[in-house]
Amino acid sequence: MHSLLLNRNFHLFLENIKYRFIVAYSASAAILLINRFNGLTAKDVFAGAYQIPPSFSFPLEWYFFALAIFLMIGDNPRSLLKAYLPVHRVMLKEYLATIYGLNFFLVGITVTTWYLLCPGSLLFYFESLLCLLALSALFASLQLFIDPVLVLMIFATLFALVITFNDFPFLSVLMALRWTSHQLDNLCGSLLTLVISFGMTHFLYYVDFA
Amino acid sequence: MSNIIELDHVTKKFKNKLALNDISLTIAENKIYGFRGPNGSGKSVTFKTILGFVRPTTGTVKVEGKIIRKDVIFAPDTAFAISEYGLLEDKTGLENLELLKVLNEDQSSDSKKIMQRVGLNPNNPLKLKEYSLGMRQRLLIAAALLGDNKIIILDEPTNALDEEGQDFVAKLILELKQEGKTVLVSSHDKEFLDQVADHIFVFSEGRIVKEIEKQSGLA
Repeated sequence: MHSLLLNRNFHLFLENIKYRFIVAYSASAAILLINRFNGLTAKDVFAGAYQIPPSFSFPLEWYFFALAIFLMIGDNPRSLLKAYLPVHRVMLKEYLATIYGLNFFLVGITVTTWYLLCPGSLLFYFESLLCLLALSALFASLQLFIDPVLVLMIFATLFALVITFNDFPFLSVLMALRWTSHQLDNLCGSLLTLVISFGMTHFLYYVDFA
Repeated sequence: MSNIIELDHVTKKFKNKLALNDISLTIAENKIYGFRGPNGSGKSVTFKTILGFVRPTTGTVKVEGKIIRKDVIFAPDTAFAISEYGLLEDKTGLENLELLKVLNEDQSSDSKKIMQRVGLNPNNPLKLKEYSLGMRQRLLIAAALLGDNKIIILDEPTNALDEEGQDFVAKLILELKQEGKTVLVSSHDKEFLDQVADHIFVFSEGRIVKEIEKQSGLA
């Protein structure tokens, strides 16, 4: 990958996400520290919910953590592609690779911070990381075609559905309460999501850049 | 003289608006083509379609024999000054050109000389966000001159330029032709296009309503 291009896009990425990043990153760190101070572990903070009808619980903290990374990324992939692509200067594939790479970097440092602030099962964090990496690629790919606000709403709805249905495939792995019964789902789901996300870039031939 | 660009029955619809309506045209090498018409008449969309920024709803666009959005996504061997694609607001003019040059692995262009050629001072410490509209216009043209592209597309290059600036752009376009380039330039300024273009397409409501062939530009 062209290091100068990566460096350029990294600066544009930081410039674009800085305020959202500060707010969401600090809020997640504060929640984790407060919970840790109260003697809770990752298993409690990322527990999520297991619905037992007729009662219904909505784990707001889990919902926030699930969405936090996507709130930070925001419209950055679309903005990098549609406003800052140096057309004719770089290969489109190489440029897209920097966009996915920067998303992965953000997911990596965020999840690592969560782990350091609120230690728990390393395997749980690793699987959450895998799942979030794949989702961040999908988040980026979708907004190359659809309005980023709409993509965020799709993700918000998706996570609400995960809360509602105990057996929701793949994404249930992000809940500590359901994690162990969804490990295989996670691996397959992450790989499939990555393949779909990268495959979607082929359809850039059908979209307008201006 | 061979055709370097061909548009064949191109239409472009944005939602319910027909931006281009059955445009067919050919562009021969080493000539200057003027695209004239009021705002919203389809000049810029035609340029964006040629460049590959916009996908035609129907019809085909060929640049150097490659079908845009089929063989390639963007037009090959084509530079443009359309909007601030790829330019960074918090960099100086020279830094922007240098960055584009390095990304393009372009060893031959001299960014400082190109800036001087378009009337900008390469040592000016102002960042792009502090540039006046006229300076931005000149920097866009400078970016289009990087590399050794055969086709150069300039969208309203005289916008925001004073009379002296307009004369300079006219002179530059004629120089580019002498260097063997094919130049496509749009403007709603009839006099300016009459001064530089060999061939003029007049646009109205997404259609070419008139073509004017001239003997030669005022070289």
